[in-house]
Amino acid sequence: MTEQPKGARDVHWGATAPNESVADGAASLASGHPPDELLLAFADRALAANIEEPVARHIAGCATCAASIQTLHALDDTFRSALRTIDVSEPAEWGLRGERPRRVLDGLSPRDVAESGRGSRGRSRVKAGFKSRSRTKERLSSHSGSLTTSEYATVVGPRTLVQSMFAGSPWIRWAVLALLCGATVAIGITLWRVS
Amino acid sequence: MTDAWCQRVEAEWRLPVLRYVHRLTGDSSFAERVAREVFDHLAATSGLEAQSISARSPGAWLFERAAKIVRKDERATTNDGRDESIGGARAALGRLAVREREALMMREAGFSYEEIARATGIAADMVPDVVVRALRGFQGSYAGGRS
Repeated sequence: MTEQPKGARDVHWGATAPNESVADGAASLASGHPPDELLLAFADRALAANIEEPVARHIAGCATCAASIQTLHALDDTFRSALRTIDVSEPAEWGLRGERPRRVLDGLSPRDVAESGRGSRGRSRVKAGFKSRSRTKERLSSHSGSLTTSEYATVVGPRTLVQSMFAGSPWIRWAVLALLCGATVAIGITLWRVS
Repeated sequence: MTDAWCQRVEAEWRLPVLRYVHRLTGDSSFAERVAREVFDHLAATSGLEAQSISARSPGAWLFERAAKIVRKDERATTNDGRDESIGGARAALGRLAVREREALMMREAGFSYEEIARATGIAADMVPDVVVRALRGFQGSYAGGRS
């Protein structure tokens, strides 16, 4: 069984025998704007490379399609925030509150995340505005291990970074506290000597 | 299915299944009953079905089973009105077609188009079409319900 990359919807339009939808989508690229379902599949990273590339090229130069993708993300965000209003009534013992659903990584491929760790394309793709900050935060949180601290802080904000540090193992927590104490003592001694 | 494998699957998937059913029905005790039933069914599977489940991610199979149980129950489409905001979201979900609702929820849970297609019976290349329609339908009902 082939391992599917996490985050990519694994039905690749155009990867199999051409069907009506793919043919329609491909034809629409030649004649005008791709339909919304093609744009959604693009945003979900579900298109085969031979379709994804022309769609990406089209979107890069088409304000209308870029706006359509933003609209789709806005619809998605509304849906997600509406679901959160249901989630607040979950029993506390489930321990799910505030937890993100697993494998919600659409739109940001492992390649993007890996590249963002090197400070290149992935984060610039995020910054390019395909995804809102909150969605980006949601996705990156699952992959924060592959980002450098400063890059993670750039995307999620320093407060969340501190929270995530303290949510980690107790050893990390104690190490951070020890470092802070050490730094405070060193500064105190330096000031005392100067004065 | 071996006990160890079932326990591992349950440890990984119990909470997502609970959340999925709870979102569909708004009933936590019903969600727990459905989750129990689904995992009992998983433990009881054998032969080709068991091989097929273990060969791929069992999550889609579990969601599919849970959705089948929910479909038979009217909780998924009724709005108990316990809380206005919860009722609004659930009412908007309830106005979607069953397949639209399930496709949307499974996509939100992170499943691939192929897994969504297998679980809902939608053709794989129609999944984005169904999701877009569902998102628009949801937005219309939800925004309309709030205003």
